[in-house]
Amino acid sequence: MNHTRRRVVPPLVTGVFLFAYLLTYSIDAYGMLLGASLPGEIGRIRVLFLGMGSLLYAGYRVARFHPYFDTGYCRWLCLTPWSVDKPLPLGPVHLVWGDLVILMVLILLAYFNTPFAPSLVMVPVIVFLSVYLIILWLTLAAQQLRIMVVSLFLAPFAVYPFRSAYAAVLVLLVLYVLCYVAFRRFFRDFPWNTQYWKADPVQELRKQAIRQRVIGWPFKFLNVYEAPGICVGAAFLLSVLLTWWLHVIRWTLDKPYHLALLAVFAFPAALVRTMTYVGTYWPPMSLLGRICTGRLIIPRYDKVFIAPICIVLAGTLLPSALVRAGMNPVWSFELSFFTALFLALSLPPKLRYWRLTGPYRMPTNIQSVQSRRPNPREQTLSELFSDKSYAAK
Amino acid sequence: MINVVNVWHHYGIKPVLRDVSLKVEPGELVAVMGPNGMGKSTLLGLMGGVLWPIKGYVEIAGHRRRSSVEEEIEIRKKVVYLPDNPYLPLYSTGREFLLAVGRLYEIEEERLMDHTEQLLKLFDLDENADAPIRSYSTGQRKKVGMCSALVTEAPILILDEPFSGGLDSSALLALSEVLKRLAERRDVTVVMAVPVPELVESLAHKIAIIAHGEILAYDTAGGLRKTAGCTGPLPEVLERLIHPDVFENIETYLQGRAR
Repeated sequence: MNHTRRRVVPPLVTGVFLFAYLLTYSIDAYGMLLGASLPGEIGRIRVLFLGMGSLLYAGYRVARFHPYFDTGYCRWLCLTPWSVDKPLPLGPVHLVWGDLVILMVLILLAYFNTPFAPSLVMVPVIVFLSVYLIILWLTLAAQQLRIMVVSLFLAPFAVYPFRSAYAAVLVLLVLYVLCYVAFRRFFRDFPWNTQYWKADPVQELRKQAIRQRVIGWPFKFLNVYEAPGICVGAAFLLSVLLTWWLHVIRWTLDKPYHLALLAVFAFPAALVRTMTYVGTYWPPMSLLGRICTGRLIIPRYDKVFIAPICIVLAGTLLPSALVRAGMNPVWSFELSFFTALFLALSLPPKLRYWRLTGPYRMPTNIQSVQSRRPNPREQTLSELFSDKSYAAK
Repeated sequence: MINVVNVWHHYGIKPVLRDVSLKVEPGELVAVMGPNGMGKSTLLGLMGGVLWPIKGYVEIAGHRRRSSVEEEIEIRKKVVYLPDNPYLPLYSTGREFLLAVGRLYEIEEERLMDHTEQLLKLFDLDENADAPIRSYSTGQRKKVGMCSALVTEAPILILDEPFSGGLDSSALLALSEVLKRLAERRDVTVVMAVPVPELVESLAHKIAIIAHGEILAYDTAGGLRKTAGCTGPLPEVLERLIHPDVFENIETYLQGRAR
């Protein structure tokens, strides 16, 4: 217990914010003793100090002890008989009593600062849990996708439909429980099948070479490793999720939708989709060629433009059509947003199919130079993989 | 086997290839020759999968290009297309680049490292192997590009002007010898665009002559001589096939001057 307490103690930078808090508090108290008082905003600034301290502490709690963030630690841990049932040697990633003590201290400080504003009193806890959960989720998401999706659907309940700090804390605690379950499952599979510990390090090096632009024209564009893309089910789920988040954000801001906003979303979405499909995959002949040969439409190629047109239509005409049909403007906006997004993600052709079978021509001047030096961290990973006996492990 | 069937291609209005058909048997080394701007690179681009024919189709090892995901993947595993100026990662070393390309073609790691080492030595790049490519000379960059095609161990190589671009005499010798041996072994099919005929005769099993978007002749060097009715060196044979009027015009001109 003593051992754990010593290791979860906040870092110095958190102490700096606490010190700033106490300093302004002392000045305020001293001013009151002398009969003068500082402006009321100082109280809110002090809460900001506490919030910043909580944020840094949350970041420290995950990043400092999670083997995912420290390749050396991870590598060493792999060689030990450690399993999920044993405590992590350098300190726990999950929350322990020591964290509760520190959070209680932060709550007390916030309480002394603004005793009659519960939303401000709970700020340190809300900031701490939010940041802690976000960082932890980033490490777990790839392996625990289902729990992640459930959590993303639940997360908006922190603000919706109750605007209450206590409700937010309650939802965050529920999310923590889910996160803990995912966390246990994640560590049960250690050493992980992650970027760093893939069963196939050569595959990782291949991806790394493409990412770092070691592979370019023509190998990059003629290789066999095209991403499988997003399936219709996943596109639907993602569209529902983002629409749900949009709904909650609008509710939180308490402002009506402006239909033009949807067009602002639809046009870039259509443009991104078009560029993804057409950017380096040009039509087999130029516009002049089409006009002169009378082949104005090349069906096999031009089908890639159907999806962007549908996205733009869904973003511009659909909402007003739904409103005219008698639908609530909020619902019509959200339904149109969902439709545009779903179409953008799911309409054929699939990117992989297009890249492997499309009747395009690649511009022969694709000379994207290696614009940056390879990331030193990834270089380290190269070295890591070069030790084959270890990587195979 | 590479089978180009009735291929037409044009980027704008002017046809670059007109009804071109060409069959390359497995293990053959075919040189595509012809004047500049007559469709050599376009033909190679179509075989390499960079271009899509407006009409006709290209088959490689029994699979039609871009007809289905599975077939295209099968083709891509077997074919390497090397343009005349491929991309090179300037901040990476030659060795890193070759290893990365080899991994892309799923070459077993130990063999890949060994092959990379051999290629670097063969093309006299071993001293610079671990230096960033941006420090390489033009010729050395060309060599690395060539090595990247060879390191894949792909059974079909499509090379656009492999002998141009500042290769020194030793590199020219090494490359022509490697291609010659590969051609002799008959386990690698090579199609290459070569603008100059001097290097071709000793290398190529067959020569395709392309001009104005059409295949004028596709035969062995001996066959071309027969077609041209000329027993002289290959450059003369090519000139007679591509520009049949040139020699007559020269004679007419010189006779006119003599008077």
